[in-house]
Parts: sequence; C-alpha cells; structure tokens
Amino acid sequence: MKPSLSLILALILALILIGAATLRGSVAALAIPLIVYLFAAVYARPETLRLAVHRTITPDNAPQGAPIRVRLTLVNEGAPLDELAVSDLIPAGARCIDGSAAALVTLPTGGAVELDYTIEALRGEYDRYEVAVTARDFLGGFELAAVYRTTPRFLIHPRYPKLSRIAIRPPQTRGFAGPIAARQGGSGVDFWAVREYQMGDPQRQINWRLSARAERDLYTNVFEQERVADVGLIVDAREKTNVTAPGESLFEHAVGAAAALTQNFLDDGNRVSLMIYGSGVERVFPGYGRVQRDRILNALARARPGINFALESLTHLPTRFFPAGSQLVLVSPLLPEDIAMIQSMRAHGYALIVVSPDPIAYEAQLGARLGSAAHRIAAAERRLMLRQVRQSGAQVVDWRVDQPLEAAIREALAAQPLAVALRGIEL
Amino acid sequence: MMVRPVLWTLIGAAAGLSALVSGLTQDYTLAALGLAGGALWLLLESRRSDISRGPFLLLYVALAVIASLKDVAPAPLTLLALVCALAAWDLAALQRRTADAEDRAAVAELERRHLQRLGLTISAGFLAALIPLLAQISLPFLVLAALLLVAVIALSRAVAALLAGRDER
Repeated sequence: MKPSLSLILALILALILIGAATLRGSVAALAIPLIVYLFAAVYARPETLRLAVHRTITPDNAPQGAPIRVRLTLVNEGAPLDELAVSDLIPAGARCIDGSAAALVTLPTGGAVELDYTIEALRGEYDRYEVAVTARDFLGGFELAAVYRTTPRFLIHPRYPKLSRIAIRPPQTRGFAGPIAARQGGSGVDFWAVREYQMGDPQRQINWRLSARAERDLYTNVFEQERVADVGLIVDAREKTNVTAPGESLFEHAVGAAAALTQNFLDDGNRVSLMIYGSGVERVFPGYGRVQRDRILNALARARPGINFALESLTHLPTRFFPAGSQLVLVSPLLPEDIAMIQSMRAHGYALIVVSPDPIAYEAQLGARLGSAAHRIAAAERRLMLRQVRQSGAQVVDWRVDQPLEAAIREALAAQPLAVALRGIEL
Repeated sequence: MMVRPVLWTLIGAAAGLSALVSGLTQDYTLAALGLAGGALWLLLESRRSDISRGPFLLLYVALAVIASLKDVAPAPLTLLALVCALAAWDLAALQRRTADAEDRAAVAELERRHLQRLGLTISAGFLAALIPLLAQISLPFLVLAALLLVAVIALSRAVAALLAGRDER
C-alpha cells in the first residue's frame, strides 16, 4: 500500500473517532467517500502479473556507433491492468538515441504494448536485457512490480580506421598468389634471377642483353613469386599492461588497432589468425576473407582485459599456434619482462611487428599527476625497452594513441626498413 | 491532457465550496484559508511542482470537519467540498505519474479510463454519504458506539488482511 492510501486510511479513522467523540454522525459520514475510495483501490489492485515478453534486436552484429533497433513487445496474459508502467533497462555501455524505452499504458487481457527504439553501444557483448514493469490500480494505491529478463545477444565490434597496405615479408609464404615476395622464382613483377632458356619460355622474358654476350645460349629472366602469407595477430589483454580512467582505456585503442590490422591483412588475401592473451587464451583459427574478418571482429568485441596469474608474462604465449615462419603482429603496450619472449619468437624464425600503444603518453594525456621527473624516467625506460625489442629484429611501431595509427605505422616502418630490422640494426 | 482542466475545476470547486461553507458559519478566517489553499494548489499545479498535495487534502477535510461540527451549513455542500478535494488530490497524483510518459495517445486513453472510474467512485461515495446525512435515524448511544467500533475493527482487519496478502506475494 502506498503512502497515499495510508493517508486515506488515517483520515477515515480520524473522522470516525472524531464523530464518535463528538457524537456527530455528520462528521463520521464524511468518512464514507474516503471508505468507498479505499475499497475501490483495494478491489482494483493488481494481484498477479502474467506478461509474455518478446524482444528483437536488429542487427545482432554491428560496429561501434552504428544504430541498433530494439523492439520489445509485452502481451498481457492475465487480468486487465489499469496502469502498467514499462521501462526497458538499457544495459550499461549502451544508450538510447531515438524513440522511448518507457511507456505508461492501460492493458486489457490479451492487449499488447510495444516499445520501439534505437540505441548505440560501446564495444562488447551484450547478452542480458531486463525490463521493469509496475502495475497499479487505477487510483495508484497499490503497486506490483516485476523485472523480466530476456537474453538476446548482440555484439558490437570495435571501431577501426582504414589502413593503407603494410608491407610484410615473412620467411614462409603460402601457395596462393598474393602481394608478398616469396623468395622463390616464378610469376611476378620483381626481378629475381636469370636461368638458361628452356623450351616454352615466353619470348618477352628472354634477357637479350645477357644472351647477346653468350655465344650460343639464351637466358630467361625469372621473377619473384608473390604469394600470400600467414599472419598471426596477438592482442595483449593482460590487466597490468592496461591504463584506465573513467570512460577511457588503453585496451580499447589496442583492440581498434588489431581490428584495423585484421582488415588490412585480410584485404591483401593473407590467412589471418588471432590470439587474445589475458585472463585466458582465446584463439581464432586461421582463415581468409570476410567470414574470417567477422570471426576475428566477434572475438575482439568480446575481448576484455583480465588477470590470470599463470599468464602474467608472455612466457606462456603458445606460439605453436602460429605456423612456422609466419608473420606475427603483437599489439601490446609491452613490459620489460616481455623482451625475452619477443627475442624467443624471433629466434624461432617468426617475422615480428610490434604495435605498442604508449601507456606513458596515454597517462599524461589523461591528465595523470605525473611529476615531470617521473614521466621522463618512465619514458626513458620505455625507449630503452623498445630499443632492445628492435635489436632482436622486430619492427616496432611506438604509437601515441592520440595520433592516427596509419601515420604511426608508416613512420615507424619507413624508419625501420625490413632488411635492416632483420639484421637487428637500429637507425 | 484532459486531466488538467478537470483538476483545475475540482480545485476551484473545493476551494469555493469550502469558502462558502465557512462563510455560512460566519467563520471568515477559515473561508479565506480555504480560498488561499486553493490558490496555492492551483499555483503548484500550474508549475508542475513535486511538492506533495497531501496537506491540501488534509486542509479541506479539516475545514469540512469544522463545518460539520458547527452544523450550520448544509451537510451536502460540506460533503461536496470534501469529495471535490479528494478527486482533485487523486487527479494531481495521476498527473505526476503520467508527466514523463512520451506516448501521449496511450496516456490520453489511460486518463480517459481513470476519469470514468474516478467519477463513478466519487459519485458512489458522495451518494453513500448522503444517505445517513439526509435520513434521520435515532439510535441509542450504546448501539451507535458499538456500530462505530465494529466499523473501525472491520476496516482495520480488512486492510491488515490485504497487506498480509500482499506481503505473501
């Protein structure tokens, strides 16, 4: 019973008592309309709620910032409801951008109320949606509340920029044509070697200049085959490498970078796999094309930084998941203890690019109270660590996340030509 | 928004009738109090204030009780002032509940049904109260006291049973 009806009840009792005390029936009679009002509320009070709830979310897979339509239908399968307040509880991370997620209606038996609105959401997996309903009698004296939970699942992919082609040259390539020089002769555009002419060689490939110097033999140009490669993306989801502030997280930038790199390598026809290393090890097995892109984006949508004491360092990174001689791209802010694992990966023959979001600059950008000396020391430590990583033969992209990733990659890879990087020489 | 004009009319009627009844008992202070209360209530409704309207209902019930005790003004007028105040109090609460609703068509339907049922309830209460006021019945004091006691006990038990039933749910 709401306080309003408690007031009515108190007035009724007061009027009856005053009427009895003063022996005035007219005073007691003033309580009768209030009594009728009270009993009307009691008679009309909602006793049970029987609502069938159905929700659809379209689309169930979308990039961050894309509008998502939510339609909620409640059908009254019980007694008529004089007043029904419906409020759809939008999950944390999402917000309503059009329409209304609440309604106040009167609902007869078999009647339905529909909410149709649009939300946008942050990256993540949403698998729980609740709707709060409150039924009241027509006088608002009694309330019956309930929360219905529905489990429509929808995924929001990370937002990512479009990158221009990144030149990679892993030790091993795959048997399909692509953009990567394969260190083998065959059809291609780059000159590879010269060999003796064999019957059937195209005339336009004959090296006439060399053939002219030879007395009897002809020589044919051989071009370097261009093939696709295996690319393994590794996203560092360890909580201790993450920097957070209210509404901000360095990990979000790392995920966006991984998504952009995924799209880039898949567009070139490469076979791409993903590993997310943090609270556990989540893998997406290698694949090609749009389907693989969706698989990887779904995994990135669900990725969360986490703590696992067994996976605190990259030492336990299961590199055997990646084919030998493939290209690895590690997206991680890096810690000094990670250098050993990077050197190990290089020693095992992987080509390695490290895209490292700069946590020092990020903290400064968030306005953290770093004394200038502490900031300089931390920045110097980071430079030293990245130098050691470069010396192992990995290409390093030191990325300040307030700047475009495209520019950071272009600048870093131009300063570290692949051949130089492989020799472990820092320019 | 059909509730608003009805609400304002009821507030005006409650204030006017209370002032009239108090005027008939030559208690002009109470009449002014009734009018002032109505004016303040109208002001709060026009500004959609969140202040509770309970004190206004208490005011008009008190004015009705005082008028009944003085037994000068016609009882039906006093009763009418009280039921107008009760209906206005109820509609003010409804208006607050529906203020934030966006689907005005659904709210209009809800308001229409509420006005119908409130009208029936208030009318039934008014007529039910008129009967003992107009019919003169002589009862011994003990019988009257016993009836009142039974009414109070029955009412209390009914409400307690309802609250217990609600808690079980």
